Order: sequence, then structure tokens, then C-alpha cells
Amino acid sequence: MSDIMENPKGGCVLAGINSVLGALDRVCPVYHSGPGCCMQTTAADQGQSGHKNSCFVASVSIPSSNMLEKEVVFGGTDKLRTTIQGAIDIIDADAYFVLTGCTAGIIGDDIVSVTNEFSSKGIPVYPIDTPGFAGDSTLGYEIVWNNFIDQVIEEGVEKDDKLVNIFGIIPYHDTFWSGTLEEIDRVLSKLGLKVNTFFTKHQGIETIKKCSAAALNIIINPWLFKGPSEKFEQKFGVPSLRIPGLFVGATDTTVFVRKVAEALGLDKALVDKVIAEEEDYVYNYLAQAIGVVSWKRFAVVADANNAVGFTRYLANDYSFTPVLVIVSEPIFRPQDKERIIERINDLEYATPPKVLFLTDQYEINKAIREEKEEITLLVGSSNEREIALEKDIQFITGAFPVNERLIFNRTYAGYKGSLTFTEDIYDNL
Amino acid sequence: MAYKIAIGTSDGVNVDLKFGEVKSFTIYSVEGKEYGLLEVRDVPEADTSKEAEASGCAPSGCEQPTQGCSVGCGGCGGNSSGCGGPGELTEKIAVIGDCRSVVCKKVGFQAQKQFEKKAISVFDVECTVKEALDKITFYYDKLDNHQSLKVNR
Repeated sequence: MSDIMENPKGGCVLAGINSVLGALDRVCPVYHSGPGCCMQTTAADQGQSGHKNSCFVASVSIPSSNMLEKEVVFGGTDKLRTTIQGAIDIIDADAYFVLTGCTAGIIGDDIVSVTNEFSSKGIPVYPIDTPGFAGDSTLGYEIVWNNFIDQVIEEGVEKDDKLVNIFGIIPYHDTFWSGTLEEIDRVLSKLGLKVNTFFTKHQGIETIKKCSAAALNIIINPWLFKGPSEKFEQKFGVPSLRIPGLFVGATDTTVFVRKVAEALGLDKALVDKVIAEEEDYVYNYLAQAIGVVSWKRFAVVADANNAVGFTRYLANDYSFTPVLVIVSEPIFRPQDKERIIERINDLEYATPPKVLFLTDQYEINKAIREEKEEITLLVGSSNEREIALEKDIQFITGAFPVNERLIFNRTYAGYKGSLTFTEDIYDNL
Repeated sequence: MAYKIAIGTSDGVNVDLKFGEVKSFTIYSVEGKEYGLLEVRDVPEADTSKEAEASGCAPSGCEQPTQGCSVGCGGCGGNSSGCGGPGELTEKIAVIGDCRSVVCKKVGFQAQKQFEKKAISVFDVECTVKEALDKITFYYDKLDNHQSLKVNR
């Protein structure tokens, strides 16, 4: 059952939860865990995500109960109580979330009773009782939203038929998250929609409380968020639209826009106008640089979302030849794997590439090293740079983790993102 | 594996003494999950010159080469035994040097560090002696038998 993995991409559940809370404006996590968890979980996701960190609290500035042997033997709830009080005294946050590390999970400290002492006094302290060992960063994203649905999001908020929620892009665990969310926000806003990205525009806990007013939940991911989306629909009656993979380039982004428009019954004339404008913008640029990037036989190593987006853009829009696609995040449900393979294989005219699901860096490197067909471009994370150098193939960093670039609002997604992507391919020739 | 636990208690019922207040440690011996009172060990009375040194800044204290340095007495240069902490503290720790853990109401930072050096676990808790012994023996039993402490909820 248990295996040793070389260079896992991301961290434990706690790392995923910390990434989401860190991206929310004025929200403070409080760790009930051993000393070191704050720093390590931040290093696992935020620390490898283009040198961008949560600036409210992150890493060593996160309050932690620092459980030691005494807390293991006698229980750590007393120490947790003083830690929460200390956080409230010192950090002026809109909400506090108490997270449990492995230690607290093993000894079974009752954190809910402690947070209740504070919430009964009207102080917004919420428990997220999921120990670190329960899974990986992606599960952390789902856990946070499950807890928001259970504890934070309000019922009976007046519906707004122009409001949409965006899910499926994990802050920091997807290095380009803020740029991607901004591009989605930009395109959807042109359609007259109000967009909850939750992690940009200084949206915070208040936005989350009222997000049950939305007319549609848009999940941009081929597999993530299945459980929470069903729960969301059950509790608040908001239906979900799954976009099975990030859209890079005009073709897929237009499909995305049309799907959203259809689901919400938007005015067709407006939708056509927006699409025409956006496509004109992209194609006008591409037309000015035809042939500057020569034909490539490419491989992609990325999380499922980005792997789908990159492969489809390069194969469909840029007529490169896909050779090998490695989905480098752990995916367990067979139907999810099938959906991802289908999206990667359903190309307009290219021969479908080989699709592998590998999370171990040794196996990823081995698959690329031993690939019989020639590869001349590799889109991957910083971890794949080594094998690209070894095989002497062109390499661009397009997926988490990214250690050698500073990334603010750069994205490869959407209409404008595809231009950036194409520029970057040229830059790395 | 049998081991001993030292407890700072004035009445044998509650853990009610700070480490510094302890004049005699109550020692329990443990075998598996069974424990019993072994003995009461007196801490030797410190003579007055040592006490003055331990309490801080008697200048003469620093000139005695065999003594460790105490906090605030001007450093421990030239002392071959290194910074062994105040003499009284070292002696008091030596009294229970054969124990696996020590339980007191409070234990100061200096003492905690000294115990850490000797791999003696410190539990500064306020509870009954019985509760402390139950919890600590349960913990060590699991630890020694490589069993998880996981609680099924």
C-alpha cells in the first residue's frame, strides 16, 4: 500500500488547505500541530509556486500550538485555546480556521469543542478537523470547500442570476492561478456576468458567505471538486457545469464561453460579439508572427487540468505533434482517468499521444528518457528540467512546481494566455 | 522494560510542586502498564555558597573553576566542563538521572534543557498523580511496543 515517492508535487492535506486559506483575503489559519508544519506546508505549495506567497499570514507567521510530547500524552486542547486567543489578540483577521496536523489527528484532540468556545462568543473561529495524513494538496482544496459549505456559506441568500462561482483552480498548487482566474473573470465579465473567483479582487470570507446566491458553479477541472459540487447543489440548489480541462487558446476558450452562455441562457448576440472580439484579438497577433515557431513533437508533464489545456492548444491550435502526455497528480477514480484520456485524445487531426499517469519523479524521468519517438519540446514543471537537459530538448516551465521564475499574473489560459504561452515557447528556443 | 518516573508532589495525590520547590521526589517504578511507589528521594541540601552562586551573581562563584556558570554571572570562559548550568540544578537533576521522565507543576527553561540533554522527558502538568501516571505509562507502553497512539473516534 505505502510506497516511497521521489519529488512529490505538492504536500499533505494541510498544505492544500493552507494554500486556499492563504489566497483568501484577511483569513488566518491556526495550526494545531507539531512545530514545523506551518513552514513545511507553506513550502510545499506556496514555496514552489513562482516565488509568490500569501502576504497576510504564511509560513512562520502562522499561529501554531506547536504540540510536543507533553501535548501527545496529556492532550493539547489547553495549549490550542491559548494559541487561538493569542492569534485573535495579535492578528486582525476576518475569520480564523483551526487546522489539525497529524499529531492532533492521531491523538484525537477535540478541536471542535475549543472553537465552539470562541464562536459562541461571536468570534469567527471555524474548525477544519482533517489531519495532514488524510491525503494530498488536491484533497485539501475539496476539504476546505466541504467545510465552507457546512459551516460558512449562508443559506437563504437572495439569488442573483448573473452571478457565477469559479472552482477547480487551486491557488498556489496551480502556479498560474491568479492570472488564470483574472482571465476567466475578464472574459465572463464581458458577457455581463458577476464572477466569484474567491481568490482575486480581494474577495474574502464575505464573498464566500454569500456565494450561495450564484446561478451556476463553473468547475474548471477534469476531475476535482466532484463531492463538494454535489453537496453544494443539494444544500443551496446551485447547479454545476464541469469544464473538463483548462482552456488554452481561442478554440477551447470559445467552447467554454458557449457552454457557460448555454447553461445560463445568455443573449446570443452579445455572446457572438464577445467571441468575435476576443478571437480577432488573438488571431490578429498570431497572424503577425506566422511560422516563427517551427513545428515541434511535444511532451507534456503537468497536473490533469493543465495537461489537457496544453496538449489541446499545441495540437489543435498550433498543429504541433503530441507524443507523450504524463498526468503528474494522483488520480484514483477510473472514470476520472477515462475523462482525462478522452479529452487528451479527442484532437482535431493529430494522432492521439500516449497518456500516462505517473506521480513519481523517477518514473516520469524514465518514461521520457525511454520514449522511442523523438521529442523536441517538453512542457513541464521545474522538476522536469533535468530530464529535458539530459535529452537536450527544448523545455518550458508550465506547471507546478515552478522554482526559477517569478510569476505574478502570468497565465497560459484563455484567449490572452495563449499568446503568452506562444511567446514563452519562442523565448526558450 | 522497567523504568522509573519522578514526580513532584507534596501529598502524594496531586502534582502540586514546581521543580524548584521539590525537596524530595516521589519515584514510581513501572513495568509495562503496571506501576507502583518505589521510594522517596531527598534532594541534598545545597550549602550556602553554592546557593548564592546558583541564584545568579555572586562574583566569587565564577572564579571557582569546577563550577558551571549560572545565568548572568559573566559567562563561562575558561571553564573546561562547559556551561553545565547552575551547580544546584545539576545536582538536583542527577538525583533523578536514572528516571525516564519527570512530572512537576512547572519546570523552568534551564532545567528543561538539562533534562533534554539526558533524554529525560519533562511533563509540566497540573493534575493528580494517578492521572499523570496513567497517561504516561499508556504512552510509553504504546511507544515501546511500536503501537499507534491513534484514537478511533
